Amino acid sequence: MSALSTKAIRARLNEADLNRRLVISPLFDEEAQAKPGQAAIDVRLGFDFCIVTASSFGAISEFPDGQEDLGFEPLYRREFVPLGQSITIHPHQFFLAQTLEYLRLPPDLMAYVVGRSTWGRLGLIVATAVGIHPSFAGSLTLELRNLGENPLTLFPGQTVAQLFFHDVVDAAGAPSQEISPQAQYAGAIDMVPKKLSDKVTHDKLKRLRALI
Amino acid sequence: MARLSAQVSQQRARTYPANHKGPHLWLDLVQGLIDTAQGYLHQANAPGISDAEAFSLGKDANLLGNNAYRFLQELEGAGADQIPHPVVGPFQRWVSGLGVNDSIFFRSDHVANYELATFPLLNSLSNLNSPSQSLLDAMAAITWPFRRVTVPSRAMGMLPHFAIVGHELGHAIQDRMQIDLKAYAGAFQDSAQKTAARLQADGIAFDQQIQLRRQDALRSWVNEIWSDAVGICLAGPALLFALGALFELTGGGWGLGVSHPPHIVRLRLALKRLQIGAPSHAEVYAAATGSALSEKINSPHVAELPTADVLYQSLKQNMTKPDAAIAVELIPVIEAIAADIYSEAERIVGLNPEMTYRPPQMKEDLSEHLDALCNLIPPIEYRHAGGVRAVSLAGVLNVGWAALLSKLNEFPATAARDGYDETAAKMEKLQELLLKAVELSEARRKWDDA
Repeated sequence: MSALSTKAIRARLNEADLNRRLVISPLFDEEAQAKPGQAAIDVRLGFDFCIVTASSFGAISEFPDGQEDLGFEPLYRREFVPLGQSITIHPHQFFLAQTLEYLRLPPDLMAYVVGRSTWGRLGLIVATAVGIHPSFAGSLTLELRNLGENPLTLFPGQTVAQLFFHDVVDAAGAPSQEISPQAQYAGAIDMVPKKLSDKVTHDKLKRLRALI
Repeated sequence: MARLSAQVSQQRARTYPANHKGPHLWLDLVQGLIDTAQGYLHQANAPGISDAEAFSLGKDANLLGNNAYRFLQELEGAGADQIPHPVVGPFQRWVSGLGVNDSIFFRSDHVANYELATFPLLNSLSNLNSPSQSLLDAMAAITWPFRRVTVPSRAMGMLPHFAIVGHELGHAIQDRMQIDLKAYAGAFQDSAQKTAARLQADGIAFDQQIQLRRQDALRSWVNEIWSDAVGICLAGPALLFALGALFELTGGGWGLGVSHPPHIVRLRLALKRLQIGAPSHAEVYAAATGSALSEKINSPHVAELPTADVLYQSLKQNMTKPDAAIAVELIPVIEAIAADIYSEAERIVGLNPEMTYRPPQMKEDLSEHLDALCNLIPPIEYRHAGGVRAVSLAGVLNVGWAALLSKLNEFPATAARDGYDETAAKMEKLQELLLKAVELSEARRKWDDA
């Protein structure tokens, strides 16, 4: 599986054909974020955070207390941190953040998001859901966890992660043109997850549960 | 008073969008009032003071406390969790670009309409006895009058509609308008005679009071057209679309009264202006979307005006006969003055060349971003060989409207959402993308400016 060089990534950013264009926007400092000779592009920390707070909810479950619909929104407290201000993540704290950049992948590219090693060495884990599917469109949700022993002060606009891109090919080996606009996170803007399972899985689990 | 102070402290701890200092200036003012009231209570407890004096001071303190509480309420909806926060920075750019230095804050409310409120409090506050130092400091830090822009809350506010804020900001600079209305004395006199004739037929004498009301009505109408004109300068066709949507939401009637000229007249005048130029905004829009710009493009139910006689007979069922006659007979007057009002607005707004949204810019916005938006790429920045620059708020609004009105069917289907049909889900997705565009284009600007 081949990875795109930085030069190839930048060529895709300037692609005239919308169907082939890779969008990572805004790129405040393209030269610094996409360094020549590498194979990745740096992305920055955005402004919106969802902080997991203590709540009266029980275990997070597909079927909480017999209720059908699970809403995750009450599990989070939202914080907006503008450019110039900061937010501190304390040891062992977990919260959701977004990339500042909006991403739109063409159907023939996928990506991996990886935390920058500088932050990793300080204990900050940036992403756990690391694969980004072709045709993804939205700001990327980052799952931040401070595994270190010191609080870390984070400023929106700091580079926190890198994206590595790979070609996606169809069964014949040609660039994929398959688009899945119904994917759960196509055009995703919000960080809060919507559901644990797709409808088919959910309904199957429900029937299996009823058999017991 | 201690409870009020605690509430002010709570409000200070909130995040206000775009680091906007307006809410903090307002809270300083509230705290100054509370401190002044506490000073009165302190005086009332001083040894040797008479019961009557103590009672009077207590009453004054109570009054100030009530005002402080009311002022706190005025700030409701200004927090980053209440107002669609990405819009505040770009709105402030409009305010600053128009040379409005008055202190201001933005808030949202659960309303469908937009409002520019003005708080000319300086004189009344200056007359307070024994003001606290904190009140004096707060008053000095404010550029008076204090202004407040209200937009519909998240639930009500579709971003493209926010072009109406351009109209509201027009009201903030209406005092700069320099139009010699004497040039239209003939039309105004002719309208007076027709008004008098209508009223005479109904047994009402055309007196000085009615004449003064006509003058007030004309002033209000001129201010409305002026504000439309400023909005057109700032936002281009987006204001026409947003006005149309607003009129449609308010019932689609004539919208005619002594405070406002008829909806259809306002739309027609705005469209006329958008058809000027080579290319004009209208031509650019038509070329990009394949749809002609028309006065009722986004307001099919706004009513055409009937004949003046029919209009008068209808209006006087719901308003006084003098008001009905005044409104009917002012229509030709405002139509005669409108071109000058628009030209004057263009002159004033054009004093800062960056503030006017011109057809070539619209052409670039639509050609770069309209199809891209339909491919889930928000209009954040332009990438040209010469570099990268941010899209303006007006650009986002116009691309958004063009997509909403002409390309929504090209929008990719989105994952089903509870309570949304397919069209509504697409509109919601468009709204999210546009808000993202406003947020990130503003971030781009701030980063570049730093």
